Amino acid sequence: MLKDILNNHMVRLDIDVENWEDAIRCAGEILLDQNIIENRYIDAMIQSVKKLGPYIVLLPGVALAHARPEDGTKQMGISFATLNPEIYFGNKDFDPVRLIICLSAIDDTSHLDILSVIAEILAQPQNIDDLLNCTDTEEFVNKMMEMENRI
Amino acid sequence: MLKVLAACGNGMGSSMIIKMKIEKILKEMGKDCNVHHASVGEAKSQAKDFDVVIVSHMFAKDFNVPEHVKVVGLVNLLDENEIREKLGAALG
Repeated sequence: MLKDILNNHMVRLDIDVENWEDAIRCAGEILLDQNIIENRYIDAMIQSVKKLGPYIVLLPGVALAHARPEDGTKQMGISFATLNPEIYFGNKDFDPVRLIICLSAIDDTSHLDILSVIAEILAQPQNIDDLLNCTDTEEFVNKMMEMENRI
Repeated sequence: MLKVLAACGNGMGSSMIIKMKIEKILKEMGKDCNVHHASVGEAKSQAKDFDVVIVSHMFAKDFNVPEHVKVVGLVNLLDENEIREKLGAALG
C-alpha cells in the first residue's frame, strides 16, 4: 500500500532547476533528508544516466531515477518531485520531464508491490496531469491514494 | 517453457515492471513462461540462454545475439498494449 511509504515529506512540488542532474539531485535530497539514502546514492543515480543514457524517462513527462542498493541505500523509499519549469533529459520520445520519481530499493523484490502500484497509476495519462496540477503536497499524497484505490 | 529476460539499466527498476507485465500478458496468451530480470550489462552476456529478451528500444541495438534469441525493444515500458503486440509478433 502507498500509505506505508508515502507522506507529504516525500513530495516536493514545482522544483525550479536548470538541468536534469539538478532535478535528480533535488528529488534525491528528499530521500536524503528522510535518512533513506546516503549522499553518494544521489551521485550514483546521476552516474547511471551518464553511463546508460536517458532511458529513465519511462513515460511522456515522467522519469524514474534510481541506483543499486550497494550505492548507499539505507531503507526502501520513494520520493516524488514535480518540475517547474519542465526539464529536458535528452530522451526524444518522452521529453520534457515534469515529474521525477526517485526509488531507493534495499533488494531486488521488496519494492515491487509499491512500484507496480505506481506503474499502474502512471499508466493513465490523466493521473499524471492530475498530479501535476496539485498545489500542495498533501493534495498530491491524497490524490495518489485515491488513484491507488481506483486500480 | 518460454524463457524471457527483461532488462533495464540497473536491473531492478523498470525491468521489474516489465517482468510483471510480461508474466501477466503471457499468462493471458496461455503461454507457460519463466521470466528473469537483469541489468543491460548482465543481459548482454545472458541473452543467449533465453528465447526472448525485452529491453528499452534505446538498448535493443546493442544486443548481439544468436539467431534463436528474439530481442524486443520497447518505447513505453509501461504500455501493456505495446508489450502484447511486440511479444506476439516476436513469438509468431
